[in-house]
Amino acid sequence: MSLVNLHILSLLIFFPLLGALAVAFLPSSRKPQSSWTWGLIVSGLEFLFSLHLPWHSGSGEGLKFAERYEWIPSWGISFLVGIDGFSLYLILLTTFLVPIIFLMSRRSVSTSPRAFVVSFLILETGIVGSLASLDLFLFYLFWEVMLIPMFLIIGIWGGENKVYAAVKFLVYTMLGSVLMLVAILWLTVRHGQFAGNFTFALPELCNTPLPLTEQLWLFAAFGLAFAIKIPAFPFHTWLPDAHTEAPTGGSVVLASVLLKLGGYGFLRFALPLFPDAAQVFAPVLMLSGVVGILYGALVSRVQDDLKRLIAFSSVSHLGFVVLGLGTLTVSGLQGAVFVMLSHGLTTGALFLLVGMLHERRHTRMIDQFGGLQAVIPNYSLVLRVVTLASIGLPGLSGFVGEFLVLLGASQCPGWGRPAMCAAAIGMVGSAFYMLHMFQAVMQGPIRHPKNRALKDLDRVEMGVMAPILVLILVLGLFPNSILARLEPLAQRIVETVVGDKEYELEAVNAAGVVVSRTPVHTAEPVPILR
Amino acid sequence: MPTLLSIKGTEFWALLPLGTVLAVGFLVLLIELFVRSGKSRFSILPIAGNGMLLATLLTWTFRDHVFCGAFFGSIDLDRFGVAFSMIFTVGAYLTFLLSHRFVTRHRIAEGPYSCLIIFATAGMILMAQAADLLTLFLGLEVMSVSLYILVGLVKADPRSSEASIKYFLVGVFSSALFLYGIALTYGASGSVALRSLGGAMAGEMGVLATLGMGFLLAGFFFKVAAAPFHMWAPDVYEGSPTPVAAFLATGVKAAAFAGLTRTLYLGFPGFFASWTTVIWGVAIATMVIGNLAALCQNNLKRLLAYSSIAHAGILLVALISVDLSVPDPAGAQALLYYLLAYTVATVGAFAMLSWAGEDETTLEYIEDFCGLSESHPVLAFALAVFMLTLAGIPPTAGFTGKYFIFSAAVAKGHVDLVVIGVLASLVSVYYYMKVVVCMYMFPPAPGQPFTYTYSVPTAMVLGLSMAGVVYLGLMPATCWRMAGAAIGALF
Amino acid sequence: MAEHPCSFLFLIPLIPFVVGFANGLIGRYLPRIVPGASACLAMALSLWYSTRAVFWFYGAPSGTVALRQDLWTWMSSGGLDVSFSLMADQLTCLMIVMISVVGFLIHLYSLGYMEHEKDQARYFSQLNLFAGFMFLLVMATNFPVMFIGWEGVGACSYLLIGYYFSSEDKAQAGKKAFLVNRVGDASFLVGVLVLLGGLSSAGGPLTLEFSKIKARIGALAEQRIFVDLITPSEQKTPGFDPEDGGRVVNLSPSFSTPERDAIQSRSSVSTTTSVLDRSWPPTSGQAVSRSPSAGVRASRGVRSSGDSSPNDSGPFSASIVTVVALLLFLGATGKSAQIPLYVWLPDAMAGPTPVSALIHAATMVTAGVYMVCRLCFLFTVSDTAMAVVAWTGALTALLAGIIALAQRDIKKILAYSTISQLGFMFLAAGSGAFSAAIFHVFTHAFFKALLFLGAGSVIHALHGEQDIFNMGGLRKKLPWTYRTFLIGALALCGFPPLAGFFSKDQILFQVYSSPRGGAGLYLIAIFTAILTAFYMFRLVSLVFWSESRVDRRLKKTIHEAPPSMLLPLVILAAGTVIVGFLNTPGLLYGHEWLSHALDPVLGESSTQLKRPEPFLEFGLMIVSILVGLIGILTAWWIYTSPERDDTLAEFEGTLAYRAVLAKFGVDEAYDLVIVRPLLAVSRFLRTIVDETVVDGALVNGVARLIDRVASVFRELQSGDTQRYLLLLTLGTTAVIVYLMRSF
Repeated sequence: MSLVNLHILSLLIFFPLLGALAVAFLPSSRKPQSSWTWGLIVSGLEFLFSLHLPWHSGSGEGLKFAERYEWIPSWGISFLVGIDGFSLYLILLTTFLVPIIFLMSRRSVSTSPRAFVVSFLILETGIVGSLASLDLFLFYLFWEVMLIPMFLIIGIWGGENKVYAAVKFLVYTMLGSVLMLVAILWLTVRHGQFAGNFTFALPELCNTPLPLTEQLWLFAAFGLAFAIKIPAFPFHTWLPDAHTEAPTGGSVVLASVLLKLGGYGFLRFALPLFPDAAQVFAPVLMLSGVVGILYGALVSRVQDDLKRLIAFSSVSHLGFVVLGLGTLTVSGLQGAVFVMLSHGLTTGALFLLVGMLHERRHTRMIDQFGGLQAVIPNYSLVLRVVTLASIGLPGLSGFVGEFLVLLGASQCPGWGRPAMCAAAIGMVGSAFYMLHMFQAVMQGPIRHPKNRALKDLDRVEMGVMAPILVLILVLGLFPNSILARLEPLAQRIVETVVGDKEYELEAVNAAGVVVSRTPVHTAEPVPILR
Repeated sequence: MPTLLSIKGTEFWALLPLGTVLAVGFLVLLIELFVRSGKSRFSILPIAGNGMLLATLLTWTFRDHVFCGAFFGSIDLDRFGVAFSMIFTVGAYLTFLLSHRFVTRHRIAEGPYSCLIIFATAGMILMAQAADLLTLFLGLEVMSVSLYILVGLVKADPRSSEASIKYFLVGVFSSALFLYGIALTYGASGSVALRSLGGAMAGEMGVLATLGMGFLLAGFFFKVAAAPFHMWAPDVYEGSPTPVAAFLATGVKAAAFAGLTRTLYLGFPGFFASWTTVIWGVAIATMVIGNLAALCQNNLKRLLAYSSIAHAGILLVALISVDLSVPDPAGAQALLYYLLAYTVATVGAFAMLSWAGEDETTLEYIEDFCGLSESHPVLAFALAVFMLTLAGIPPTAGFTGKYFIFSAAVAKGHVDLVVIGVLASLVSVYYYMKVVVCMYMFPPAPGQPFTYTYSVPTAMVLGLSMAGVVYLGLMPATCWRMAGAAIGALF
Repeated sequence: MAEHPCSFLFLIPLIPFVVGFANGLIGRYLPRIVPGASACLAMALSLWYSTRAVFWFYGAPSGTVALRQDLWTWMSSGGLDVSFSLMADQLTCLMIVMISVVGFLIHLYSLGYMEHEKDQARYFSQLNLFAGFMFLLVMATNFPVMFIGWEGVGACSYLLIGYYFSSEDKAQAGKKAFLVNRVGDASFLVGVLVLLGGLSSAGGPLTLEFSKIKARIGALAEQRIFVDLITPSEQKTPGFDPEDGGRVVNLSPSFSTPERDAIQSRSSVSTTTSVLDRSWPPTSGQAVSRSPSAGVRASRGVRSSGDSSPNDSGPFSASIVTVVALLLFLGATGKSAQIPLYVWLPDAMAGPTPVSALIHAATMVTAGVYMVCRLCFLFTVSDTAMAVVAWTGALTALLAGIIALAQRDIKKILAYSTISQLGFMFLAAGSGAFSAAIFHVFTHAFFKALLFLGAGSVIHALHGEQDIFNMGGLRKKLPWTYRTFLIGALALCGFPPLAGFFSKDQILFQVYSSPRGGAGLYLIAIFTAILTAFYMFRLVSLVFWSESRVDRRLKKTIHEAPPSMLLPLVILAAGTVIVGFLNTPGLLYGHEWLSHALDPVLGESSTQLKRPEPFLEFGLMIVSILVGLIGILTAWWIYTSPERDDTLAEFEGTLAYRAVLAKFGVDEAYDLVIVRPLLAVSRFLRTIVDETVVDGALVNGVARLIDRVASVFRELQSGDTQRYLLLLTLGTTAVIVYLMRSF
């Protein structure tokens, strides 16, 4: 492995942080423009660096680019990072979106752009970090680091009701994560009692032989944190407020990446760590997913605020993720990941588009629009494509994930079939609200004179939307390269949870080299912390 | 029959921190009396402060010359004592750094002020090193009496005097309880020396001993401001001058916990089960009440008072997350670490308060900090960091400390305490964030813009605290080991 | 039995796609003529390649069942590999030729029809995209790829219906079309997944390829036949209850012995094979023999060697097939506008007329029929499904025919007649006459496109007038339109020797004679035929024959359409005259060429149709001609002469007439029963459940509760020291009491 491969992840994690420090302290970035430039440079470089991952990660399963440094040895806490298919694409999505967000925000955000850039870069560090870390302590650290910048982004640059939304977001999300902290501690302590060594490294923690009741409690704690993040019904109510009040960039990163970390958490931690409990909770997940799909669709149909509508559409789409996770089938898990990716693109694009509209008209109320297609044809073309993709038109990215989730549901014994039927109805639901939205905004006569003067997309906006549209199309037509990389991982999880095999996550030794391991557990508990 | 002659010279090592501090105190007194009379009104605070620094350095330099049971088994200078003495002297040093502006503004006589702080520090050191209950009580009283005066130092401000009176009344009450406890314990065991105490009542729990322990606990609960013994804290903090409040919030709490730890671990190991249950209940009450009551505070000082109460609750959790038989000191180790983190953050917050506002105006309401992020981004950031630390949000010191404590507690099976603790700190996030929200998300209040009088020492405090917060948060390994070494003395 | 590789199949859908995308993106900035011209060119190319595919196919080595091109693996997950591949067998060849011919003509027509529109690029790009999706639909080798086309044509139809987006109700119509279609699509998808579930629980390899599924289900069918023939006593055992579509063949005496022998021999072969490589009788033995975890993993879609080898196809319950067939058919009713999902098609007339001609008459709406015929092997396994298809088709034909009687809008009439004709097709398919159904699809594509384009040129001439009662006497003004339209109308009425005659007559005959059909269905069909003739010639008389009711101002400006519009009319008219002879019945010295050509695809299911009995067939032919004539003459008699207007007027007063005019209020009923409740529920969920209960009561409620408690503690914190001391004492007492409790 070359030097780059050995340190690419730490680079990806800490480069935005350094960039943030630079932007914060460099005198040259006192002028607002220059801070934008800096942000663009840093995030652009970050994106280029991240492109290294898919090129060199090969096709095989298992961890890649693993690194491990002892951090607090006495507590078995180490800086242990490494990625596989689950995290790879989400990282790419993140690094891909941040420059776009800067490009779009530089025109809309006027107050203290410097702080804006800084918070976004720190946020990026948090996201990439939590996607890459394989040490539970590290993961929790980055997980929390994500909160504060997002809290500030919503609260400082948000709409009229921003403080309420920001505090709600912070407290609600932390409610989940603090309980997850307790679960993490409990898990590590128990593992210490079984294995004799006190560690937070995920590879060692997997296959800790816990009795079912304990697993249930721990899974509940982890699951609550992730379910709030996704957000799964009924823990979703922070999302509409946060989305509605957040600035465009905030909504984009929130919808595209932050929510995904919930699903990612299930795949990376909750399911492999507590397989028996996962099997018990699977029907609950499926139920919550189905309810979320239908509920989100119906509620979003009757919203008056575009952003709120899209927020509830996210609830509906992510219902598919939850459902897919609940099916505990290979296709279901693959589909869940793919829905996350596709939703990241489509909903991100939707928020960008709504943001453009908001810049022009300074309102998001649906009834303020109508007939715009005549005024801004290019905009309507883009919105049209994104809408269809989000509806799940086959050939575009939206369909693949939903199809796989339904496929998984159909293969899942028990409640799978009914869940599948209900979710299929949800496909009608997505058309139900999205088409309503498109018609109300774009079609019909022009009701408001202000709308006659709207400007169509300019070069920058087209340049921003073009790659997203291309990706939507490519993901829709050639998803298999991604699916192939996800399959072994999903298979491993399913075999762990359903086929009660031991979950083999490669251990990473101090040199950062991935070594396949054979878990050893002493039978009787031994006192920890000698 | 021990006589003075049987005191060996090496025993005087045990007096090193205490002696240095007292020496500085008397030196300051002398300067005040003779040198600083008449024309030359040079400031005396630097001398006192640097004296404290000197004490710290000396203590650190000679940290290996431990000596237990000096002076007829009345003083232990063990690692535990060393660590706490350093915490106290550093705290006093920081307090002196903060004091400058306050003293000049209120025209306080610097001499007495400095001496009082130094003597209080001496009392604390005595508490941390006490090998028997009487020494402990002595230290307690020296500390308390000086603080009674310090709290009421601002005669112009009625709140100050009121706070002083309250503190005095409640204080003497609790001291009485404490003394009563000592008496009963002596009656039960025929000794006041902590270690022999432990030996004497190893097996059975006699009525007298239990009673005595109960009263001792009550006295300590008062000092650490644990619910329901906490009521004095908010009023006193609010009334007392800012530097003194900082000193109260950090030094006194640390001293009380030092005493409590010594007493319980050395004196009452046999009663582990019973005092664990008591502290279990008190900890829950403290965490819940402290955090909930803080929710509706607008005065930053009062807020910090309640936060100190809440943190006392968490420290109590740490206190009982140990296993004396194995022995497994993780909890106590975490307690030490957390005290450090808490002290640093709190001092930082008080530093912000102490230089906010111009010479006459004092800004201590949260609304006063509205829009700070635009007018003074650096200050806003600093205060925000301290708030995040107190709220225990990673990657700050507060989180690391909380993490150590909760982890130890879970290992000891106190999951219930931990769950309540994290939920309580979730509530605390809300009120700490109120400050951040004001600074970052609200426009400045139209009436009075935020003003502050810059002073180098305060800036130093801010810088040090920031550095400490980040260091303790990200690189805890070293301090963790030192804490282990310190607490190892009691096991 | 082999599939022959063919390297240029992908061009057929690709060319329209590329041109469509290009026009959609940059067409607006190009000179006016470019989008239309390029679109026509694209269709011409597709037409060229389609014909080339046909020749290639018939030039392929013998034993070739289809041309095939595998492009790439689209999805691969949990043991299921979906390859993105195209094919062309007889059926597909017929469809692509039809699509490209009609599509090309209509593109050509659009050049003239849309020349005054300012946003041509959007129109042509969407039209091209539609063509591409349609090609994809008929060329797909598996369900998911077919679903791309299936949904794609729906989306394009939605876009094109809403072409005049600035009028609210046209946009509304587009949305309605998409939503109604989406309901069908969802059911289609569920059907596919249920089928897949059946396959996986049967332990066989997961696949969605038509050919593989055909093999699996063919095996099932043979097993059934075997059982029925060998052990008639088992007929009453629940497993083979006719209700669950257990049996392919009902051993009705109408079966001639050679037929029985044929089946006998075939099934005996199959039994030998089944004895050899298929564990028979199909018990759940192997399911048990596999280790449960392996079984679970197999069902959870975990790939692992061992538990899915191609040649163990375990028990595959026929009831699943019934469910699947019904679900798929519901999807077909969405696409092809059958009861209960036909309501979108009349509204779809909001789109430009060429769109109605191409999408809502000739091609897209026949996708459902195509799908049913493509899956005939699946439908024929289940008697229930076949019966449902047949009866739905018949009833839809009848209902639409009745509604068409009273419509005033020329395009609406044609729309309802389309629905009715689609009903005929499903009727044919349901009675096992798949080739007849496809034949009708083919002829109908020509004459219905012709009719729509004719109507289009009428509307074009009258500047958008669509009410037939404001027309009349256009015979003189629009001679070419009139002639071509008349041909189309006659064809629709089944007037010999036009295309419609052959196809319709074949359907009627098959329905009467097939074991799945019967007298009841036949009567409905024949009655519908009368209706068809009547409303068509009501239209013709009112538009062309009777004296003009056109309003004065328009009269001057009426003009025949430009050549670019007339040419397609003429060509289509010619086609309408010719294409019928593709399948001339043997009775008329023809060879039923089409049926034989399609036999490899549809054959084994059409074999159960009765041998033609010359006398009966001839009689039925006469009947159908007669009923056509009756309808035509009555319409002519009523609507050409003005003195019957008053009698008409009073007839129009009657309740029945108004009911028909109001389309029996089906739309209103749907609106009342489905749409409004749904919106009401949504509002309820938003305001009550979400904002009041979940967010208000639970989330913010907890916050409020905490605040309440906090304020209590704050009250406690009054300034007075006595209280502090009191609490201190109480606290101390509590501690002491607790500690002393044990003494």
